[in-house]
Amino acid sequence: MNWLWEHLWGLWILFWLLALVILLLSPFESLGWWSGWNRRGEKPLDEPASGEPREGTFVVYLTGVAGFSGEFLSRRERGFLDRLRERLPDAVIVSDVFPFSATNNPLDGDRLLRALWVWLHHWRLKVPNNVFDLLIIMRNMAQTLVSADPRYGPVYNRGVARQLALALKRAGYARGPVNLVAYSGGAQIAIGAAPYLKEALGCPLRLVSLGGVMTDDPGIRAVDELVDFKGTRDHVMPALGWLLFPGRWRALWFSPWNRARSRMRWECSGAMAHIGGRDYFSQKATGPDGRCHGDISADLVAGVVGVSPF
Amino acid sequence: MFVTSALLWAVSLWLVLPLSLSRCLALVALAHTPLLLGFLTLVPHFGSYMLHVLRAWVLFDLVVAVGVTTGVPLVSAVLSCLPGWLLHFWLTHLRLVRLERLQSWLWRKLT
Repeated sequence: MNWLWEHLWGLWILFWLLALVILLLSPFESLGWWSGWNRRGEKPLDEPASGEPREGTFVVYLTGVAGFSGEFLSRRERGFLDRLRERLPDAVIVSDVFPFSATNNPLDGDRLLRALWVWLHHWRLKVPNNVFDLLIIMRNMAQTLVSADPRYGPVYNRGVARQLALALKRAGYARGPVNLVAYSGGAQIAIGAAPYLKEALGCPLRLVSLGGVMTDDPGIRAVDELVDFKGTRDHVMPALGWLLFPGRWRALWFSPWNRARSRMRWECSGAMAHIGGRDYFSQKATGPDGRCHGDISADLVAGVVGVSPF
Repeated sequence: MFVTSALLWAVSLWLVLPLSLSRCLALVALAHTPLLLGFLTLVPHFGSYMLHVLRAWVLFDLVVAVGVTTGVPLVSAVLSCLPGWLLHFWLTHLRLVRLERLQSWLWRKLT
């Protein structure tokens, strides 16, 4: 313990230096894609749907900043999606898009630091919420900032929108409204990608967020309806978007966010926290009526998504 | 563009202060030292704000440098630096003068 106190300042400086390096390097993945450096074997967007084309309710789930890949979702998130499928049996739910990469390249995909991310992920599976988990979260938060940045955002968000459109087409999307269900930082990515997704598919867009961290991204103009569910124990993370992005402040009435307020709805989801045992997907924590948080969240989201058209 | 506007800033100082042009150029160059941290503007989101902070820092540095060099009171130092800074800001930030077209044309012709 003495060693820790003696080196606290050093560790603190090391943490900020590491954060700075991650932030400085974060735009390069999307910029590299845009420049064509890592554009290998990309499918054209206008390729016909691989499955049987269908209409109906399409839901795309975007995970939060702790996400690792489109294929891997935590057990609680998978439980939530299973519950959502039970409530929306006719809906197509797409969950294989990793929102923190412009090319849907998972952290264990073809990338320079693959070994590091895989090692961290293995640690995370063995010891949940360990300190190294922070590196994955910091990396994904940096990508969220890239999405919100007016300089890098258009490139990044166009890439993500392209991946969303491709995933929808793989699932057989022909036409109709698209529902983006996002958790935490995934909500910002959804807003950023919205104009490009709308341009690619020509569809109405609805965003349903659970504890969404959203910035003043002008992409909000393309969202036809925003429903944000927030738990009464979820104080810090959703407030970050408001704190760091002045366009969310009411005083700036001319900002895209404030102009879109008529299309937004905020609802309380109960005594839910952002992370931990009482989060939005918890299967153990229960509400006053005995339903677990995962059930409550699925009911709320299905209640919104099930109402079509919007 | 940036160098041009910085030179104009030095010229504007030279016009209002009893200093040689080379001295004014040196002061403006010295005041721009904080821009060594300019790489921080690459940081997503926060970098945009950092640019404004660095520019304010440059103005502050020049006011102090002018005050120390000429011995004029603070208000006079601010008033002598401000027109050049506004010109600098106008040319490099607001981009009201479309010098980019001239730059692109020059680049095309030369390459």
